[in-house]
Formats: sequence, C-alpha cells, structure tokens
Amino acid sequence: MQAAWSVAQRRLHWAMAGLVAANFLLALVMVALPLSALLAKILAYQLHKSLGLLLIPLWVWRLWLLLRRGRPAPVTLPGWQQGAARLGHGVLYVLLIAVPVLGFLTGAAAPAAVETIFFLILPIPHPFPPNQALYDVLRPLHQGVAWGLVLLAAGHGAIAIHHHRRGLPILRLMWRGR
Amino acid sequence: MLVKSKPPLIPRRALAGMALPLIGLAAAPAQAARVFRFDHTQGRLEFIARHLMVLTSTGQFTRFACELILDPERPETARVTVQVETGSIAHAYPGAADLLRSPAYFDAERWPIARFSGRAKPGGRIEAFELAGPLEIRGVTQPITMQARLSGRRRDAVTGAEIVDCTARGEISRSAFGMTADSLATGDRVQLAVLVSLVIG
Repeated sequence: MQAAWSVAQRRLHWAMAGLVAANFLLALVMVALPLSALLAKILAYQLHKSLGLLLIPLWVWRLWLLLRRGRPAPVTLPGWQQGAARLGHGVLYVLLIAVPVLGFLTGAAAPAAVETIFFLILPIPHPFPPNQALYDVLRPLHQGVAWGLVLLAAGHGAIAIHHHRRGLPILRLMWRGR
Repeated sequence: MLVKSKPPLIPRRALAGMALPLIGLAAAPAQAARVFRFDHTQGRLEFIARHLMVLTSTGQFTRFACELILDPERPETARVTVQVETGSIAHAYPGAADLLRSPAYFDAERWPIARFSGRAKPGGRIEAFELAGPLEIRGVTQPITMQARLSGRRRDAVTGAEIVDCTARGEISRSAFGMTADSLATGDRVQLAVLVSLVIG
C-alpha cells in the first residue's frame, strides 16, 4: 500500500471525471439539437463517441495503476462508511467502463448506420451491423447507466467535499497528493 | 403514370411473362428486346451522401417504378425509364426523411416526381453497360450516366425461380439540382443506386 496517490493516478482521476462530465453535458446537447443544425449535430455525436471511446483506454490504464501501485491507507472512518466507500468505488469503476462500451455498441446497433470515426480521423469498425431490436434495448440501457454514473459520481464528489470540510484529507490526497 | 396509393405501381402479374435468361443469352439464339418492369416491391432505389468527407448516410425511396427495355444480343440498344415519388423518401435517422422532403432538399410537395430516362452508350456488354440520359429533380434536368451491371444468376431456394441481380449506380451533384442546404455538413456528390433481383424464369 503506497503512502499517497501517484501523480498518474491523480491526473487520470481528474481527467476521467472531466471527460465524463463533459460528455454527459454534450449528450444532452446533441440529442436536443435539431436536424436543421446538421453540422453541429454530426460534430456533437462524433465528439461524444470519441470522448467515450477515449475513456476506455484511460480506464484500463487507471485499473492497471490501481492493481500495480495500490491506494493510500484509508483515513480513519467508521467501518460502515469504509464499507460503503469500497462499494461505491467498485460500482463507479464498473460504470466507468460499462457506459462507454454500451455507448459504442448502441452506435453500432443504431439503424441509421452512422460510422464511428475517432475524432474524425480514425474509423472504428462496428462489431455488428445495425439491428433495431438490439438498439431498442441498448439505447435506454446506455442512457440509464450513464445517468447512474453521473449521479453516483456527483454523490462521490459531494461526500469528498463533506469529509474535506470535516478536516479529513480525502479530497486533498487526490488533489495535491499528500 | 405513377400511382400514389400503397399497392404496387405495377401489378406483380404483369411481371409473370417476363421470363428472360439475361445472363448467358449472349450465346443463345438472337431474341428481340424484352421489357422488364419493376418497382419498389422487387427492388431498392438508394442514395448515399457523405458528411464531413468521412461519414456516409444511406436513404431510399420506397415508391418508384422502372421500365427496362433490353435486348441481350444488343445491349447498346437498352433503354430505361424511372419515375420516383420524392415524398416516399425514407431514412433510418430520426427526422432525416422530413428534412429531405422539405423545400431545402427534394421539395416533395412542389415536385412530387423525379424522372430519369436513359439510353445505353455504345460499346457495352450485357454484363456491364452504361445508361446515359436526363435526370429531372425539382424541375431541374441534368444529364447523368448510370453504370448498369448484371451481377449474378441463381435459383431461389424457396420458389425455385431463376433470378438475376441487376444494379445501376451513378452519381449526381445535388447543388446542380438546387439542393444546396447544409453544404458544410454534407458533400455535394450523392451516389444513386438501383438494386433489383429480376425473376427471369
């Protein structure tokens, strides 16, 4: 168990938090854009797909760092809070990979058959052809799990701020490293 | 005359007598030109647009009628006429069909029919030949060339009917027909494709 989060771990944490927040807001905008704003809508969808795909290798890197370097010793908290924190972190990790993977599969199944071009440069092949029945399942699932991730992440942030106000170094450890 | 009602534009029974072994007939005894009539119930009429140079989207017309006059011995005499109901446009992307029917694109209310009539160019073979002629969309007529291809011959596993796949592909400049909307998002060149399986026997 290391004494503090490594620089890479901290940067990855905040980078992924920023990406999730930005992509969630982008999703709300892109869906609401009318088709008459075609250029903006196409760009917004492709950017949403690209940022989502970017989360996947970052997640793998972050998990690898966690397994390799571990985490700092937990601050003093009641047992039930430590248990809840472990459960919350575990669910966050699962949702962080489930949302982009489900999003990519939703894009593949979409009947409109719009390609996925990573930042409009690199074509990412879809694993299967458009499938209306599958799309009808995947789209609400992606949407629901994304809302779950954002709400849980917001709760995670709120609890970190709460502990910070009580003088516990949880937020400081992730922000400054010590 | 194009019929706007749901039933097929050309009754299926009208096709019953059109048995014609298209491929392979080059070596058969000489025959007169035959008339093939088909519509959306036998084939597809698609258009493919490109967006931001890297993305594509495909739509189709769900009501059209086509007449192909073809002498397998003399493909250079082939003629084709196509009539399309522009209001029958269909696109899987939500809202796209309505946008394409709007005045910015096909203006389907004002120009409900698009037409193409083509004649084969000299030098073609029965497997691949060119059909050139005027295409009218939105009241604007421009010359286009379609590459026709008879690409396969097989027997339907269920009905036992002999079938030949026929495709015709071409490209238009949408701005030449007055469709200039969304030029930053959508390319000017739009591919057209007719795909039909003709029952020949």
